[in-house]
Amino acid sequence: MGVTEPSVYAVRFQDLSFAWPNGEALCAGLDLVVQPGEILALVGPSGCGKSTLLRLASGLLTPTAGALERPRGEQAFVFQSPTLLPWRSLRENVALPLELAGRSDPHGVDAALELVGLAEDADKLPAALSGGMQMRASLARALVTEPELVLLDEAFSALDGLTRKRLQLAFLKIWRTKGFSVLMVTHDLDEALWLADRVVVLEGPPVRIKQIVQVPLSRPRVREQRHTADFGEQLQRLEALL
Amino acid sequence: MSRALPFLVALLILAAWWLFSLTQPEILLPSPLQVLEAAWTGRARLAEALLYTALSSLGGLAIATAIGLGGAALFLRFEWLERALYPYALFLQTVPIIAIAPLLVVWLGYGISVAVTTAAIVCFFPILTSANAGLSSPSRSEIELMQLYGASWIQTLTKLRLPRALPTVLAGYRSAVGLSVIGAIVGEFVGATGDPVSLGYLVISSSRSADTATTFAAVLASAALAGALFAIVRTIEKRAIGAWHGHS
Repeated sequence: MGVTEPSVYAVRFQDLSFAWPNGEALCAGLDLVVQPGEILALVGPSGCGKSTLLRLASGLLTPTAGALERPRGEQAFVFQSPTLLPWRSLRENVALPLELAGRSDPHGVDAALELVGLAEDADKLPAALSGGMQMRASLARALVTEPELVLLDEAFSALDGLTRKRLQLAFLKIWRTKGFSVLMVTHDLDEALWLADRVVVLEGPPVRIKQIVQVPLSRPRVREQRHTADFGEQLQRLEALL
Repeated sequence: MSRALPFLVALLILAAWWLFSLTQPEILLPSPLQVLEAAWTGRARLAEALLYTALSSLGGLAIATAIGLGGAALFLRFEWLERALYPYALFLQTVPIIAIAPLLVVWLGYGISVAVTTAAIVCFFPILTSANAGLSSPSRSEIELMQLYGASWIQTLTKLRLPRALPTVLAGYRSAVGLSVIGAIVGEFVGATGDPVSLGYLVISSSRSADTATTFAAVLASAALAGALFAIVRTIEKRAIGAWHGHS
């Protein structure tokens, strides 16, 4: 008694439905649990409703039926584009969530920039940075509030191949250090397999779970795992499900 | 070379003007030199007129800014207000200012208030429309970012919508400053008393007394005023948004 039990989930969709006012249903009676500390990837054909689930989890959309349960705590959302405010320096961009909450934590802002390797670029405007660096800054902004849940909406998809792989690796390293839970949407099955603990294959609309695949790769993930025959086999199996 | 082009064009126009003026009596077309002479002789009066018209234009701009920016913010907050009032803002824009000016004299009397009001009426619309478009210009992701971090309406306005609107609003001001001078001069045509003297009054009074060189000098002074206001807006644009606009 009096001791707070650790949460058994980072976010739980319980018989969750969402429909637009015109009656078009995007999600009907969906059940899904994101475990604390896990990376859960949502994959599926375009337009099946992956992003709708992410928006429901973030609170940008309100369910029309069912429940979305999430223990109290910070959450962060990383968009497909960096969504940095171009008139603000990187430091000011990263500080935005704190500023909006009426808080000030210059050390926390610097630490977040350090974490993504942008400490030396803190005073630059986003226009002075490459796409990869902008995405790192976007990640720093998400991490500055020390979130317990991070939602990634195709966060790496706009980057070129090499930058994408580097940033994925950097993200995994941060995730290992911080231990937050991740719910991510991606079109890239390779990315889903390499980053996630479980991959949820979706179909729809309205969005339904076709299959949940447990990723049999050991942690910590290393670059070489991507080039093994086993990884290729897993990838083929995942492709076959879509 | 591209920087010198406008000056070359100006030289060409001056040369053509001078050549053509040789074929015309001064009352119809004074030469550039005669205009310069008239401007120099009446420099004290011209400077006073320039200052007075500048004050009317800036006064009009200030009122149009308050109503235009305030109106755009209110339209953003209350959509019904935009639906109710926007057609009338549009109507105000379509009514010729020269037709309204005499009515303003009836209502406001002679003096600077007419010129300030006509200036405000003509430059209000570009400020309202540019602010309206600018405040609605943040992307869906940017708006969602503010929502995700629990930003209030005021926070979204001050930290996202206003800075995002700045390029569009300043583009609106590029039109508005020229219009404010036109508006002020139209107001002065009908509402100025000549004490103190204004550019609009100077144009009317000199043309009535067939002092065409002074009319030209007053017209050129009003063009210079509009040009100076335009240059100020361009400088503000470069300083305020030059570092990031166009890269985002």
